Amino acid sequence: MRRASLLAAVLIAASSARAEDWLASAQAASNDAAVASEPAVPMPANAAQAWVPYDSGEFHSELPAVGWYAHEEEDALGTVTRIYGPDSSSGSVRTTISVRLYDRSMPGFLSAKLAVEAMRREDSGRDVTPVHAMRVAAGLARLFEINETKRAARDEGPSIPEHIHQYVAIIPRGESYYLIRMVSTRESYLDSRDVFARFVKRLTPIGAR
Amino acid sequence: MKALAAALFFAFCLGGPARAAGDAALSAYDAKAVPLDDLSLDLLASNGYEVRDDGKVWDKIGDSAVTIDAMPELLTRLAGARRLKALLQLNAIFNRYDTERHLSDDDREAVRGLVRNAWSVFGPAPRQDFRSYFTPQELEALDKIPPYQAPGLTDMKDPDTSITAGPAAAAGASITAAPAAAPAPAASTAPVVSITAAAPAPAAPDVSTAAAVSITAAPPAASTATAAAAAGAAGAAGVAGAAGAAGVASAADAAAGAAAGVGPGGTAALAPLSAVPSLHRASPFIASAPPPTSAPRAVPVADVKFIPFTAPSGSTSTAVSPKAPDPTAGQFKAWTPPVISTAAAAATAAAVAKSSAAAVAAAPKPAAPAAPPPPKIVAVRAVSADEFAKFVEDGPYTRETKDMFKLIGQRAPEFCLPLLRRTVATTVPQIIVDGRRTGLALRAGIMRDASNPELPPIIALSPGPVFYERSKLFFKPSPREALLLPEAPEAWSELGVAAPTLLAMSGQPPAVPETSGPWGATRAYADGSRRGTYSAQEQAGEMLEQLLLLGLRREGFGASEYAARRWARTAKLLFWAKINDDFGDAFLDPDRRDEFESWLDHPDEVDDVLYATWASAREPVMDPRAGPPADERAFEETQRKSCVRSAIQTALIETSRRRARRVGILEELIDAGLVDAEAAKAAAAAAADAELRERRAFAARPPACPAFDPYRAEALRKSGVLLVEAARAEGVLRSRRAEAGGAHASR
Repeated sequence: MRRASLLAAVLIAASSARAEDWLASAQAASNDAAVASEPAVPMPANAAQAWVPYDSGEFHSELPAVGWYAHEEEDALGTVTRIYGPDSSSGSVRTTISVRLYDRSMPGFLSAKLAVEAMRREDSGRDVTPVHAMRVAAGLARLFEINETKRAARDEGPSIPEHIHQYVAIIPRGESYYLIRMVSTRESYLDSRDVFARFVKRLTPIGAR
Repeated sequence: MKALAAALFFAFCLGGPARAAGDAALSAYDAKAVPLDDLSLDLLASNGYEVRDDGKVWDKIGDSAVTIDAMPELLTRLAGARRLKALLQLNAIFNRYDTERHLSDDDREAVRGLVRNAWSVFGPAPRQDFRSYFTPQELEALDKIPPYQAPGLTDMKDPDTSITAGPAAAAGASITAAPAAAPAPAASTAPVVSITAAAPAPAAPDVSTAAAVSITAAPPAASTATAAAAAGAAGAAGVAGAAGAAGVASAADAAAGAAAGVGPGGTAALAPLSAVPSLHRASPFIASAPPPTSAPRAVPVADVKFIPFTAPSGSTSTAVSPKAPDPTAGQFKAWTPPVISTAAAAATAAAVAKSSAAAVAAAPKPAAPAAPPPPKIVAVRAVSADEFAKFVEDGPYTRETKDMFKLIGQRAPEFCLPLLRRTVATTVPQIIVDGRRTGLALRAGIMRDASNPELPPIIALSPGPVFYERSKLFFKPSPREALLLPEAPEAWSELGVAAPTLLAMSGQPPAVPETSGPWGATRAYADGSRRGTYSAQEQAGEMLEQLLLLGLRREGFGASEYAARRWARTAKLLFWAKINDDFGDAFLDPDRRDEFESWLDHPDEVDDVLYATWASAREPVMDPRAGPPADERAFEETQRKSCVRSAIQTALIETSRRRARRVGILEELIDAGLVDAEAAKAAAAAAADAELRERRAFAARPPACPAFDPYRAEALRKSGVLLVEAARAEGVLRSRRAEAGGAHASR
């Protein structure tokens, strides 16, 4: 029985479904479709490796030309930019980079140091890596990782705990700081690590260019 | 020499295009023939102009009547002046403070007044900046005023002159297949668009169902710079038609930019821009302006062969017929698509199809669907707290349900109570406690009888979770790692496998004692399955969320599922926060407690994880391509430009999502040993096959373009208001907690 389960898991895992994000796959198929009234969408050969500049109201950086979608919105904490990447193979957590600028005018503002401490809290089912520094375009970033086991999809069933991974980067700007976080599953975070690293390295505050 | 130059200059000006355009443009504006909207009248009246009984607009300072061609420029200048004045006054107020947050009440009220007065001349950007000064109800009223957009060259239309003759021809632009004397689309026949009445414009001709148009433009503009130069010259010579085939849109942009510098009198208004079939912008001053969505798109194709527009029925000739003088010559008017003969259209379409590599195996064009009906207007009646309490007391509810309603009435946040009360009092939802009827949802769901939609909706609440704990060798399983299972049969049929035969899910489970645990009073069965209990407070929160979602959808606020869910979730969490203030959060199950506590102390983190989930295949609340409502509007506009392909893409994405969801869950169920591996493998393969079949079906028979929904933009705008309100309500809590100085007082 156990052997059959493993075999089934391997077969499912080997299916084309795992090859790429379902959204990207469907988009590629529709772009290739022959439509009489609309010409096919030409896709450059190296589009998957290309990067494009991204300008938010608060920063500038770069993103992959294909497969990442950036949206900016307001919430109770201020402006947040969320950039959605590929979905996990379990289909429960889409890799998402978020960027926020924290400043003193925000209610309950914590300094960068305290914010790092709060995020690096130890909790049951949660472990964090040490902080290390990385030189980026906007200054000196503090980076660490958070691994946590929790249910990501809590409202619909079957609901199964996921191993969530977070990359967190804090880039101080005086008293203010940028908080950049990439949420993904532990099994897929390495796929997007380069994107996160490049995004953080190239992030430049507006007006600092 | 200077005198000669000056003489030449004046001669040039006097003989310029404004004169060449004809007497119609120089005649006095007649406000009786072409009525002005309220904003225009207000601007004129407050700046020394008078609308006389004979319809002339009299400049009391210059002591002359305003001419037809000068009116658009005049109104633009007056609106700009009003906007600038308001911004300067606002700036003077803000300069008194270090930060905008510390405005005194008087100054805040002054800001509100200034902004409200200038709202009609504000564009989208300043409106966005000052939204936080108004309540959602006020914004609802203010947003009915369309944002101000200064008219540009692209709003203008060649008045009467044939585009194959006159200045355009002189500039070398030869355009055949020009507008014939054919019936114009309905959009261009509306007399005046009032700035205050946001009546939806008639549906535009569907781009996808269009016949072909062939425009043969002679010498293409060599570059954008050339086009700009030509357009700049248009201010003096009216030759904007020089924008040629090479980048029609960019040429149009350049022309518009150049025209911005055209002097008073708006002489460029007469430039024939019919050759630029794009970029129409709505303007409060444009008579008969169709909405921006109705503007046909520019499709730069080699040799300027366009296939974007429907030839109005009855048009059989490509000949340009002279028209009678137009009394509104020189006014901004909607651009009218050129029409050509059906024979020419067919020939052009064939040529394009032949030359297009993409159309090798071209699929048949689907029939265009009918336009969606207008949204059902729901009569909204305010229900007071007393009425609500009496309704619940007398309503068809159990004692437990009535207690939950009372709790909600006492502790739910103010911003959601009006909607909640009128939803309950109007729809009379049934509340049942039955985990088998919650659908895919684990805790609560809305059900409607598909066979009889008139029946009251049913809010189904789960009495408690059914879960399965994976045993570990040495360690007690953590409640975080329990597998929560849905009870509803449709949840399993959607996965394509039978529901696990667990005792906790059976209709008649064996009698076992209850023990207290993290999931409430829990019955543990011999096969490892468990059934817990949700507290009444938690159920009340879930019921509140579902009732609010029901109300939002009913009243037209459900266009964006993402916005509706965020708004309802914020209300639920604020409701729990009030209970938490008095009793702590022990009433929540481990998942909800983790979510609630994280939301209180680390909202950025919990939101990031939540929205990463909402953009996934498992719980599709937001399309990551479209984003929140504000971006969704722009996204849908873009999608409409290639609507057949977009419809295919949307359909394929949905089938792929279903497959990804099913496969992802099955993998985990196999890993947990909860489903038969062979059956799960077959279900996963069936999902992949179904996706493949649907892809082939879409390739063979593409879905039809969804009909243009003129109400969609308004519905999305209303959804955007929900996000503002949710953020504000949550912000109040965060400020309160920050002042209280709690640990991690929510950054």
